[in-house]
Order: sequence, then C-alpha cells, then structure tokens
Amino acid sequence: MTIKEIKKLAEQSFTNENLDIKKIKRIISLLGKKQLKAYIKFLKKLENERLVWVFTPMDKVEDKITDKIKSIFPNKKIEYVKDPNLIVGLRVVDNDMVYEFNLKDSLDNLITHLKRSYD
Amino acid sequence: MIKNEEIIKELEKNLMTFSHDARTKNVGVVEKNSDGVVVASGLSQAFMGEQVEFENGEKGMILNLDEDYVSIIVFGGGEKITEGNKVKTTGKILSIMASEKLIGRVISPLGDPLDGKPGIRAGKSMPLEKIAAGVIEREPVHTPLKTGIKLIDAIIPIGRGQRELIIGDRGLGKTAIAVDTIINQKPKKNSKLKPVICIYVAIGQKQSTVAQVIEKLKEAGAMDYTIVVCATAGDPAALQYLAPYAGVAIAESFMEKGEDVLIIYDDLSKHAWAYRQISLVLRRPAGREAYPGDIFYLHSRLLERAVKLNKEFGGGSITALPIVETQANDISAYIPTNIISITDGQIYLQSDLFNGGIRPAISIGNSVSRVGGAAQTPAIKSAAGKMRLELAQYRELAVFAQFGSELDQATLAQLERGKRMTEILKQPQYQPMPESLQVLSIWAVTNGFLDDIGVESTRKFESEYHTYTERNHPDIIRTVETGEKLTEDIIKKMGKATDEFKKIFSK
Repeated sequence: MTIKEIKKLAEQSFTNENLDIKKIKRIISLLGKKQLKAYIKFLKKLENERLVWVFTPMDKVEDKITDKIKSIFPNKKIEYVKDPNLIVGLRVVDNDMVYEFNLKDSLDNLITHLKRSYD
Repeated sequence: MIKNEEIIKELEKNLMTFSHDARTKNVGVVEKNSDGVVVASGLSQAFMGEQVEFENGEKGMILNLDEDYVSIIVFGGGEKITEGNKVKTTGKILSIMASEKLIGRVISPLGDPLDGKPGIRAGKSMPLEKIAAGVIEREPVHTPLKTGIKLIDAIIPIGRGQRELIIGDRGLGKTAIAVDTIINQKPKKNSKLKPVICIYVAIGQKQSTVAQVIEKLKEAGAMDYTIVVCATAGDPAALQYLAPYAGVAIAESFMEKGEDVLIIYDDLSKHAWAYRQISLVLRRPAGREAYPGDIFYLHSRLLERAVKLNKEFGGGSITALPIVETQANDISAYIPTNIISITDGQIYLQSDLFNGGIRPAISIGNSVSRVGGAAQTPAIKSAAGKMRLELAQYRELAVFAQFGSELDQATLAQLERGKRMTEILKQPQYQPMPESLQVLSIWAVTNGFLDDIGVESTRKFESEYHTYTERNHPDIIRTVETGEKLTEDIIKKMGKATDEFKKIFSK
C-alpha cells in the first residue's frame, strides 16, 4: 500500500468529523507495522487540523473571548489550556500556525531585538 | 566614556523602532535528521529558500517542499537537533549584512567573523539568491582588469564584468593566478582606472591552504581591499553550498554603489561536490556522475551575476574568476564542460608545461578570452598583437623539430624566437608586473631585439632592461602607462633605448 493510499484511508476513518472505531478496526487489520505507523501519523495530523489549542494564563476564559474564538474557527474543536508563563494574553495554536497575543512573546521579541542591535 | 544619559537615550531610541504587534508563527516538527538535512512536518506556509529557526537556536534553509514535509539544510551541522524538536519559519530569505566594514575581514558565508575580530551586524541586508541584472542594465565589457601576469594580460586579457574560468589539475598554480590578480589590484597612484575591491571565496579548501592565502594577501598588503569568505572542507556541506552566493551578494552591495569588484570562487568543483552531497541526502534524482539535474543552473545563475552595469545603473561591475579542478587534464568532464560553456573564456593550466618549468603553466592553445580583447589597452594590443599566433606556430614547430635535425634558416629563427618568447612569458609567483613593463618586454621580444641574447640570459636581460628604462627613459614608461597606441615616435624611442641597453648588457 502506498503512502497516498494510507493517507486516503486516514481521511476516511472519520464519520461526522469524529473517529469511527469500526472503520479503524477494519483498516488496522489490513496494515503492516510500518504502514500502521504512517496511518497513525496521518490520523494525528488530521486530528490536529480539526483542533485549535488556546493557551491562557487565566483559570477561566471570558465568554466574550470564547465566542470570538468560536466565530473565527467555526468548524473546529477548541481546547483551552492554562499556561501561567504567558503572563497576560493568549496563544492560539491552529495546526502549524501559532498566533501570539501575549506578554511573554512580546518580551521575548524585545530581548531578541535588543540583542541583535547591540551584538 | 559614554554617559548614563546617553545610554538611556540610545536605548529609548532603539525601543521606538521595536514593533510589539501580535505575531504569527508557522511551526513544524522535526521528523528526521540525517547528514545535515532535516525533514520536518507542518510549516505549511514555508517557501523555497526561506530561513528557519530550530528551538535550540540553530538556523537552516528550506530546499525542498513536499506535500506533507519540508526538507531543511542546517547551517551548523545539526547534531543537536532531534526528532520532535520544534522549527519555525522566519519569513525571510537568506541574506548577509554587507558594508565597507567587511573589507579586510575573514567571514563565514553567514557573515560571522572567522578572524577573531568583533562581529559585523551593520550594513545593507543582501539576499544570497537574486536574479542577475538584465540586458537593459548591462553594457559590454570595455575596461581592463589587469592581472599583472604578462601572458594573461597580453594574450588572454580579462575585462571588468567578465567571467573567466581558471581550470587545471591540482597543484598547477590556479590559486596562484587568482592571488596574483588580487595583489595586482593594489591601488596605484595616477591610475585612470577605478580601484577594485576583491572577494576571495574559499569553498571546501583545507584550512591550512586558506590560511596560507590570507597570509600571502596580508604580506602583500592586499587585505586592505579584500574580503575572504570561507567555508572550508570541515564545514557542513550547506555552508560550502552557500559560500559563493554569500560572496556574490557582498560583491553586489559594492557594485550597487558603482564600485568594481573582483570575485574569485576557489573552487567550483568542490562547490558542485557539496551540492551533490546535499541533493543526494535530499533524495533528488541523480544524473550524470551522480550530480543533480540542476547542477548547470546552480553555476549559471551564480556566474550570471557577474556583470558590467551601464552608467545609468551606477556603472559598477563584478568580474568573476571561477576556479575548476580537473582530473588528469580532462577538461571534457561534466563540471568543467558546464562551466566552460557558462564563462566568457578559460585559462587552462597544463601539467606538462608546469613540469617543463613554464610557469604560469598556461596552455595558449586551449585558453581563450571571448570578450577581454575589447578591454585591452591599445598599447598592449599593438605590442602583443602577433604574439599569440607566433607562439602557437612555435609550439607546433617545436613538436616537429623533435623528429628531424635538418631545418631551414627561417624555421630555425622562428624556433629561436619562440624559445625567447616562452622565456619572457615566465613569471615568478606573487610578482605581478605593471602593464608598462609588460609592453616593453613583449614589444622587445616580438620585434627580435632578444634574438641575439642567449635563452638562459633572457630573464636577466628582461629585469635589467626594465630597470635601465625606468632609470634612463622615464618618458617612455610614462607614455606607455597611458595605455594609448604605440606611435611611430615612441616606437623609435623604445628601439633606441633598447639598442643602448643591449650594448651595456653585452659587455
């Protein structure tokens, strides 16, 4: 089985945007060890594409913000994770895109800017 | 001593330029790291040639974009990059900071200092990959770039903006020609020509060899106008691949200011090896001699950046002297033929000439300069006009003369003059000669003034002849220095001076 075919199988392992255990069971019975590894990798990638991680230093995110995030990513699952390192603000991770709206990133960038200027 | 207030003011000024807007990053995950090439997933927004940064601070450049993965060459070797490490795009294409401060320095292809002096961060950011100047911006080559080597300046002249290949087996003096050319660019008083900034790019060389070259340049005072870009044999293939592009990017920054630049790529065979290594690790299809299909484009896009700009675009120029090493004098191998076809001529060094004591061991028959003739000064053109033909005839006759002893007088005379011409064209290393003296020597030998001087005394005759003319006939030197065509009057004066000297010399 080629990588392209395995990728197609991974895409078809979802029913109503959720992993279908029945389909997965049927698929994995057909795959060898190496192919299974590739299949899991593609499943993870697809799952990641459907998920948006929101990192916040607060215990609870305001409704206003959650509503806004939902409107930006209408077809995606949104997971909130507490990260006190951010100090203030948010970090939104959508698959391989990271949007930094937090103080930690601003301070890190400031350090890099000053370092580069006075190197 | 800087005052505290000044430091605070400077910091405040610097902070004003800092943008604290929200940032977007495109990140990926390292899947595989093999031989300096990293395969990463993610990075969906990355573009070809983009600079990326790993979480341990190492930097790399994207060379392959696949459906699910990107391949990155790592500049630092990448031993500490492991599977699962994060990598992010920077949105920048690879560039180098170029400024006058680089002159006299030895740097890596990324602009880091290699001479133990402070780093250079100021300057103009110049992209390593750039499309060469178009036809509208260019003008034909017409200004000479004097190498100080008689044979080259007389028979295979190089013009500013030309690409002239130096090709030959190892140990025949390819680098020596390049170094001599750099040394000869030392600014001269009363010269009508613009000074030339030199860039020596060492690719895949031994560190000891590069150190020797730098030492020689320092000794000759040539580092005052030279930049050395160095990626030695011990550096990762990625750096060796980037070195010539870094060199030409620096050259372009000077050219944009209207300066003339000479760039030496020592050598492009090793550059091709480095690119072959990277391409094989990237799993690109291998072609002839296992080189990738775009090896020709790799060198043509580099050498196309050698240019003579017209006055509207500043009038600057980049002259490129790429060096290629052959195996067993075989110029028909893949890389040599590629580069011969790209360049505007080649200087071919032959081992039998070298072993026969003819140094520089330039084979006149196989060497050519396709555009340099237009850049030659009328003075040297008129003196050396018939030399190429006479030398070629001599070399053919010399081969035939080996088989028979009975030769007519005319042939014998031709052979004798050929011997003296060959002798006159010999030149020691690191002793470039001014054009005025080159004209004197060449004019004297081609006009038969040395026919009655013994072959073994030719070199002695030449050096004493130069000293005599400089001392007793400075007007001749001054006139020839102007580069104008030798008039009847000056030829008469030269003839008279030579006859006078011959009388003294024969005593």
